[in-house]
Amino acid sequence: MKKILIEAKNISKVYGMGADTRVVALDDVSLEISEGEFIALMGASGSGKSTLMNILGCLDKPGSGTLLLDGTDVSLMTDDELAMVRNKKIGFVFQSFHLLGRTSALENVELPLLYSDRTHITDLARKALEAVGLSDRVHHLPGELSGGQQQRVAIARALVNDPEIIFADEPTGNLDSRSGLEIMTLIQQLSEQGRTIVIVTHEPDIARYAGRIIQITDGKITSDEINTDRIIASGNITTGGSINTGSNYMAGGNIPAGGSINTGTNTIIGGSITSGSNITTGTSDTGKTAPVSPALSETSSALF
Amino acid sequence: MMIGVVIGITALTMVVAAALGAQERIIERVKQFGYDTLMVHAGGEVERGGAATGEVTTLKIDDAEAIMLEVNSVVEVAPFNRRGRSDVVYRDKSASASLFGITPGWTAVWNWHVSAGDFITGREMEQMDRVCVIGTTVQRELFGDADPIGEVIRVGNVPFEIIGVMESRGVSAGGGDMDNRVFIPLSTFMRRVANVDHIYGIRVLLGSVRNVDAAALEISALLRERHNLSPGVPDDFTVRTPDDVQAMVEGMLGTFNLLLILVAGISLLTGGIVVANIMLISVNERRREIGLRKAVGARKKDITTQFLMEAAAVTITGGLIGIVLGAAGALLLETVTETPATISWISVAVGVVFSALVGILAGLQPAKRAALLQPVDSLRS
Ligand SMILES: Nc1ncnc2c1ncn2[C@@H]1O[C@H](COP(=O)(O)OP(=O)(O)O)[C@@H](O)[C@H]1O
Ligand SMILES: [Mg+2]
Repeated sequence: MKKILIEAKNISKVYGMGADTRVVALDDVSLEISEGEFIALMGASGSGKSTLMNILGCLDKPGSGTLLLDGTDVSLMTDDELAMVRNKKIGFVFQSFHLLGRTSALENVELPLLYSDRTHITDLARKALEAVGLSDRVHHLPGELSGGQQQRVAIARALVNDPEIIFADEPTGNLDSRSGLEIMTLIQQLSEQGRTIVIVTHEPDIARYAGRIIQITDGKITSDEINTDRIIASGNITTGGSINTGSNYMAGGNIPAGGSINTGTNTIIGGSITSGSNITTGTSDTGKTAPVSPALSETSSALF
Repeated sequence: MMIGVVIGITALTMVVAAALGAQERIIERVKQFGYDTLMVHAGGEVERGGAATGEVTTLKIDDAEAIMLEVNSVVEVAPFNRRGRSDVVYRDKSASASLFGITPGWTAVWNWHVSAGDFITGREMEQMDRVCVIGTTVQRELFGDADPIGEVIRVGNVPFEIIGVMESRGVSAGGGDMDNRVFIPLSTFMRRVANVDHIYGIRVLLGSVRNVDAAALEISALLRERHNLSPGVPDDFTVRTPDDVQAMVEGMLGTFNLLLILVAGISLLTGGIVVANIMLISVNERRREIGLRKAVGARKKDITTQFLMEAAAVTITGGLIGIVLGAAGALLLETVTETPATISWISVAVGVVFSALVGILAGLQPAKRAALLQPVDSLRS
């Protein structure tokens, strides 16, 4: 049994106080995230994905409800305590990268370490850049890097403090499809290595990399299921790990397991094709196989 | 942000350097006054202050002779009269200078001698000769590089033959140009130029510094007796000791310093407001950076510290640049306008400390505001 990392209970968030400006961004949302899961938060623009991600990532406070991180109630913490939690346990990747433009890739990656009690920060930052394949770009400024490379620097920054979970809000939203694929490959690799990952996206093609897809509509979770139609970004990655996310999910026990177990199809892009099966729990649309988008197939074949 | 501080501290350094230079000159003059001399002025304290009442006629040349003869510690006296802003004409050139009627004792009492030619003698004094000794400013304005000795100049239409040129003495304690003077025999001044029988003052040289206070009392008593002043009637003259002069100048400098502090304070305050404003703009511009830093674990005090350090670093750097530019400017000003400039370590230290202080004080509010930003809000912008 994998341990439960995040437990959100009845989280609501309302913006604006006036009757006409009132926006219910989140409406009584509950969910659990277990160690090792790769989750996609999906939904239309304005549905509340970012709001939920920010609350789960302790970047924002819930209006009501409780949030347990590692069993600790973080909804009662002060700003500074939350900063420490983010520093130690959480890594963020943003759509617009949010790199500091006047400092090198290395210094950008060192940033979280500056606020920790870690030593040898340059070595750690170099290792993180190495892990995202940028060891030859450490002294480049963000402006001297391509969008995909910048996002990889941001991922290195999210990784450098060895967080328990990484949140990525539309990480491919500002990238062309080729760079987007690159980033999803990297994120999936991290997932394979056992890192817990939550990505926010409105693109079904991106969500299909995840092991579990949570659908949000108007601030409510409308579906939450194992992805039976998983894309494996790189043939070099074995599918074994990704299948495990399915059982992790069941271990989370958020949604009653049971119903028919369907064998889904994993779509493997490029490289050698390894077959695998996902276990899904049946609430809706289980086992539906979405076709691989032509654009993605084209770019991916161009890439690999 | 830097530019503002650079300009502020440059101005401050220049002003302080010029002010200190002026002070030093003044103190030099006070020292030149000599601690073994006294000055007797016509008129009591009140009359001297009331300039509108016209010339004070209470002091006579006989008073000077009496002081010389009757006060033991007196070595020499230099009675004089003077007229400011007199037209001095040489051929087609003219200048405006102060006219001084003096006696041969002047050089000894002032320790001030001719650099060329001769000073006025007792014989010329007796004969009321129309001879003069000129200062270097007058020399420069009327003769340029030519030798003035033997030439005739006209002072208020009276011709005078130049017999000597005084050593340059620069600015007086009162701020006047001591080299822009024409010296003529006192007798000539009284009879032929001004047609008066009184004098303006007597400078008295004593044998020793120790006699100053006693001599001042003796001279006061003597003059009261000579002027028939009954007890209770105030003095119709003023005796100033070097201490009096120093106190007066120090009082003047005090006002001057107060003004300086005021000017510096206002400029630093303005600088501080400018820095604070620019810091606030920078906080707004850098909301995303602040949000990002907080997202990766920066606490409030990390952000506050960062902004304060940046403000201090920028203002100190600006301050240092300002000091260098200000010093260069002051030296340039000195060579161009002959305004003395003194660059002291104190003014440099004050500049650095103040610029750091301005940075920290001005940065405090913006830094606090930055620290209070919520990471989500700042990342969204
Ligand atoms: N700071 C805010 N103030 C007011 N309304 C907000 C704020 N942040 C988000 N919202 C509203 O909350 C809803 C959900 O926003 P968000 O979570 O950003 O959606 P998504 O990421 O799914 O596009 C939207 O209607 C949005 O306009
Ligand atoms: Mg969003």
